[in-house]
Parts: sequence; structure tokens; C-alpha cells
Amino acid sequence: MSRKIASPTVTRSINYVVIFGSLLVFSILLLTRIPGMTILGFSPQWLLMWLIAWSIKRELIYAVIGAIAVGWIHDSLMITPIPSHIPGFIVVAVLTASWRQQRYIQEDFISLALLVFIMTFAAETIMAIQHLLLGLRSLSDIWLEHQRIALSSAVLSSLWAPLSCTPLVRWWDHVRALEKQ
Amino acid sequence: MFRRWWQRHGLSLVLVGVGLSAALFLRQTQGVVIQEFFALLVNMGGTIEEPVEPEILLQNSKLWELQNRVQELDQQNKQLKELLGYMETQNVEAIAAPVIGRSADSWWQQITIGQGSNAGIEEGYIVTGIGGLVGRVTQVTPHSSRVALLSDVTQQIGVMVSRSRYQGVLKGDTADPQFAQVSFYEKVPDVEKGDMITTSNLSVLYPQGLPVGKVLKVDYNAGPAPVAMIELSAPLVALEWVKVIAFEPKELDFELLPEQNVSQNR
Repeated sequence: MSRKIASPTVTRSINYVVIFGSLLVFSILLLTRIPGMTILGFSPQWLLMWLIAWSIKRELIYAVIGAIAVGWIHDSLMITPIPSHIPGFIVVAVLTASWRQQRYIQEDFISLALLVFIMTFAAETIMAIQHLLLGLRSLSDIWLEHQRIALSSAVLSSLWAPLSCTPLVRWWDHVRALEKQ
Repeated sequence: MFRRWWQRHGLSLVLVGVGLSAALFLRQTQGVVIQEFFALLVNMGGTIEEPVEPEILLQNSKLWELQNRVQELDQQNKQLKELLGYMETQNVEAIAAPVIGRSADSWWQQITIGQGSNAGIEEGYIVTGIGGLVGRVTQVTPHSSRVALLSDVTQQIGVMVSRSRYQGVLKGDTADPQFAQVSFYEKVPDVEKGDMITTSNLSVLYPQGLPVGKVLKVDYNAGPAPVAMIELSAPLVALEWVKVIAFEPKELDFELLPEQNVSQNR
């Protein structure tokens, strides 16, 4: 099979292309609003999906480092870097990496979609808490806003997860299998 | 001992360092690379052409008519002001730019426009659309700029009631980007339904007198001071083209506290 043909160095370099290419594509998708890709004007959390795909079956420390890096990238696209995406992303990375170790997550894309739904909700909740702590909005505003944003982006992200997360998860599975040999 | 450890973990350590510093670089430069790449993608195939449809042509001619009238009134206004001995420096240069990107996260209200420093845009320039004020340029790359919309939570714009000159501060509505709230400084401001709201003469980051919106209703029971619900006059949700006006933020003669510095993006 192809596993025998592909040498480790080739796979490794393809892996870097996949990592940087997918990050670039997801960052650019964040800025666009394609008709049919939005609910109430909200779009999916593309970088969060990338992070979940990255954290699955990875060691905790790499998941956290990935969360910090992706958080910085997401912050770079906003007009103000505070409130930051990093706290929410770290929680998501830790949860995803440790849940996998307890084997809650199956291989199929339905449980992946469910995972993305829960994690988006968690990340948005942490963002809402940050807004509250920084005093940017009143509590009642945040409460309403959180419900709308968290639900719509969680639903959207989980709908897009099979298309965005699954290929990445499969690819990294493949890479790991090669490295073990 | 160390050499062995290094042989096993050295490569991944270096890669982690490279990855993290690349991400930090992106964050510190506010994602210039990503945004510029995005602008290049959107602008691919030469310049973006303005859509020419009968409806839009009709709108355009209406707009031209209004623009002519405004120019005429502007001229009259200038002459009258000169008569009164008013000194005013006016920047009439405007740069038209297409809206190419929306906010990357629902908690922020921002857009990306397809003109940048190559077209002469600088940080702090004011963005207007059909209807009035849209926002303020917070970051510029050669081919794109990032604009904080006036409904963003960090943009607390000083506004006033055009008719009675009562001052207040604008806060974007969380439920709908088309609406906003104005909290007044006075306990009993003279404001009614239908009053026009413009930017205040005390505003530092925005020029005076730009149309912002119209009062829908006033809540006199809100604490600590009355709050007016306003409808923004620029259609923030359906923006396609905007106009960028040169503007130098006014100098402050006092030091900002760190927590006051949010709107200046430092």
C-alpha cells in the first residue's frame, strides 16, 4: 500500500504543508461570510475546529501548545487582542486531549460533531466570562449574547465538523501510524 | 546524557519554538500576513469592479443628486462660516473601498475593507457609508484595512442630539447590530423620538457632526441616566462599499488610564 511507498521525511514535509495550509485556509474562512454558512449572521468557529482535530489523541502538552498558538492567531485577526481566545482554547485542548485518553470519543464523525458542539459552547462561555470580568458589557447583555452566539456557532461548527475536522483527524492518524513503524 | 535527550526531543522542541514564535509574531503584528493574503485572494483578477445594475444605477443617480445638493449646501455653509469668521480645515478627500471581510468572531463587530496603505489609508481614519458613520480604521496593511464598527463594544463614541446639543455616549446593541443605545450624561436630557444623533464635538477619535442615527425611543427610567434606543443610519449588516475619510485623532492633554485605553487599541 501507499504506506510502504511514502518515506518518513516525505510524510513529515507533507504534514507541515497540511498544518500550515489548513491553518491559513481556516483563518481566511473566518473572515468570510459565505451564504448558507451562517446562522443569525454568525459563522462557524473554524480555528476551534482545527484545534479540536489537533488535540484528539495528542499528548496534553502538545494540545496546550497548539491551543496557545491557535489562540494567538485568532487574536491577531481581531481589532482588540483582549479579551483573548487563549483561555477558552486551552480548556478545549485539555478537555479534548484528556477525554480521548479515557476513550469516550469514538472514531465516527457523529461523536466528533458532538464533541465540537460541546467544546464550542465551552469556549464561548469562557469568552462570555472574560467579557463579564473585564466589564465590557452588563451581565444581562452578556447573558443574552452568550445564548445566541454560543448556540448558533456551536450548531454551525458541529455541522461543519465532518468536513473540516474528520479529514485532519484521519490525516494525523495516518501520520502517527507511519511514525510508529 | 543531555545529548541523548536532545537527540530524542531536540527536533520537536525546535519545532514547538518555531510554531509558537510564528503564532506570537502573527498576534503582535495583528495578523497582517493573513489579512494581506486574504485581500490578495479577494482582489485576484484585477481590480474589483463596482456592480452595475439598473437598480444600483438608479440609486447612484439619486445619490449623486443628494451629493450635489450637499456640496451646494456645504459651499453655502462655508461661505456663511467665512462671513462669521470661522476657521475650519476640511478634509474632503475620500477613498472608496469594498468590504471584503467580516468579523472573525461574533463577540467583535468589525469588517475588513479592500484598500490599504497603498491607497493612502492610515490608522485612525474614519469610515463612512451611505447613511453615515460606519467606524474607524484600526489597522492597515498594503492592500486591506481593519475597521472597528461603531457598534463594537470597545468603541464608545461620544455623540450628541443634533437638535438640543445634549451629549451622550453610544453603545452597540448586543441583540442587533443595526441598533444602539445612547446613555446621556444629563439626568433630564432634551431628547425625543425622531431626533437625529451625530458625533459629538468632544469626541477625540471621531470628527464632529457625522450622522450616526435616529432616536427610536427614550427610556427615562434607566439608571443612572436616561438611555435612548437609536437606529443607526448606515446599514452595518448590508455594507458593500464604504468611504474612508482622512482624520487625525485630536491630541489629548491628559494621560489615559490603562483601562481607558481600550478604544485606542494599544
